Amino acid sequence: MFAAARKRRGFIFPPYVLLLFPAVLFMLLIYAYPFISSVIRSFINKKGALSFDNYIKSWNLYLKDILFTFSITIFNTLASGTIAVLLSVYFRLHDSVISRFLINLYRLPIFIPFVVVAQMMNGFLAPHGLLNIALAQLRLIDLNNPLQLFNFIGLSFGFIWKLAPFTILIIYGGFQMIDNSYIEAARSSGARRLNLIIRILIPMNKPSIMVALVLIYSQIVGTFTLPYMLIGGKIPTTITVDIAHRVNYFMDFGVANALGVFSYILVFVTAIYYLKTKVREVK
Amino acid sequence: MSNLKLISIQKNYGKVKAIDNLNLEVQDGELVTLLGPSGCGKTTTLRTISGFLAPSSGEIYINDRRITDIPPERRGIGLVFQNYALWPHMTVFQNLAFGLQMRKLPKDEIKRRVKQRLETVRLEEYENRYPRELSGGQQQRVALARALVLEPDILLLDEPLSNLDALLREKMRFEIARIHKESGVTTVYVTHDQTEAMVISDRIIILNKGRIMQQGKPEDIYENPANKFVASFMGNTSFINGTVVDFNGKYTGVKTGDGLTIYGIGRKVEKGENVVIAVRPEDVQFILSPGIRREMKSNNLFSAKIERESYIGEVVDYQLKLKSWSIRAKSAVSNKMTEGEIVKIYLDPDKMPILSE
Repeated sequence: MFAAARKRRGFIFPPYVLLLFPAVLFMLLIYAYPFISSVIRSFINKKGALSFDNYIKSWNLYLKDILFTFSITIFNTLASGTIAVLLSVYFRLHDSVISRFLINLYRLPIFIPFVVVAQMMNGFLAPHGLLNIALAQLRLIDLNNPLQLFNFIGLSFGFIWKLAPFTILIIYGGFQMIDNSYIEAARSSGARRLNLIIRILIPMNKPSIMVALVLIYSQIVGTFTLPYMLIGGKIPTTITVDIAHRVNYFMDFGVANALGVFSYILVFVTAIYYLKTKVREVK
Repeated sequence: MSNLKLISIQKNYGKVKAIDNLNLEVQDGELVTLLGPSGCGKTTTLRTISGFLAPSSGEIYINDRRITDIPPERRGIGLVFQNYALWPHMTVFQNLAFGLQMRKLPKDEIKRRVKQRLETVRLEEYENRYPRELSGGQQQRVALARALVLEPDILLLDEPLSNLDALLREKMRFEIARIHKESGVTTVYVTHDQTEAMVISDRIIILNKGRIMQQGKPEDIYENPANKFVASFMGNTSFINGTVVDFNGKYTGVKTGDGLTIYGIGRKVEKGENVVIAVRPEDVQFILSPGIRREMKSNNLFSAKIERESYIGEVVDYQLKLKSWSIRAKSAVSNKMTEGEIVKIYLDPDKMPILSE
């Protein structure tokens, strides 16, 4: 009876769709519920009424940090992407002892967690850390006036050190998928290295490059440990540090959620692009 | 005017000689095919000419210009690949224009030359399409046009038809022959397909284990194979082993271990030498009436048993048992014989090359 009714409406519900249930349930519980609940709570003020109070407060207090987060995300995404593309091209086009050594070496930082990276960077970038001492030994700086790196520069150093290898992993994988004949066809057509890279290799590997950029972009927006341990409560800092600050010191979940929504907005466009690319790949 | 010269080319991979002292000269406008089985060194030779592989020793010249150490992009060589290698993010026009842009030609000149080449390969209507929107045959023609648009001194084609279906492959053979004739470019073509080589080549070079086994016009190689390897590679040749026992002026007599004496054309063979007789399917004649049999020479008439028959359209393909030897034969469909039947066959001695083992 139900089957007939469904057929009349042109709707067929194949039973194997049920196989999706565990995965969908997991997504709903772990991702969708906290997301929707934080969006709703960001619109509820301390009196329990619907309002934009949390957003106004976030905007007034943390605009600098939102812009800082956005700029550090964009800068590090592009910097990691550029380094990754250059190294991946080098790996793809050169087969030498150095390239083989680097291919084995570059993967190591992927397996080191952010908290360890942050601790390493703390020691390395500190006013009397390894970098400053090394530069002083080379007489490039005076150790009484060391480089201050617990800021945009130090954070970028940490992000690039940690994320460029992950980016290389994806982008180099894409370059490896390009058959040699495409490269040889370009070279026999007269293309030198730069044209080969810009006009053939990068366009042919555009999907991998974009996916890698989207993934590290989202990762940078959401990273807490590295900015927390390197910059902490200094101004400007990142949204994630502000969220922790709001919750730990003020128990202010409303503003924390509003800041969370800002970070969602930062990754929203890239997430749509990522999904579209994946859907196209499946098709 | 372009000619290609390879002098004593050697390419080693460790102890393996992929190319072993290869000397080759391709004249202006000539289409030479490197023919051989997988691993014979034909693609290695092509990649050495194109500059993507450096020879271990030897020299390469184009028009007396030494190009051995010149990088691929400056050799003036056009390449067509087995997988076409059309850049998927570019349209047909952009694929053809790329090389001309690298040479910094003016836009109008690029447009004119691309259109001209697309006309040559009869794809004028497809210039705005992407490779994925073209059939295999069309992609192959674009790849050919892309190589030709640069007006290369030498055109190299690496098994360009092997990804096409049988019907299209046959059509494209003639298409490539036509385009080569029109463009007049000196061409080196690599294939493992004997028929393809026969159709398009001015000259065929048979390679095995990095060495030239024989070279010459297609008909010369087919009719006068230099050795067993060449004979086996050109057609479904069957081989009968024996010892030279007789010379009767024109023909050489070979006695097999099971008592057959077969006469054929023996060059450079001596009495007592162990040899092989190459028997091609089309050279086995079935004697269907006694009248005809009496007109035949008395030698080379045998009884054979039909072991297997396969109808393949225009002819019937047979496997015959001649004493202990299996040989292939063909006959017209109208004379179809059945499995197990004993038939009389005649092996024309003028068409039975006797080769050193």
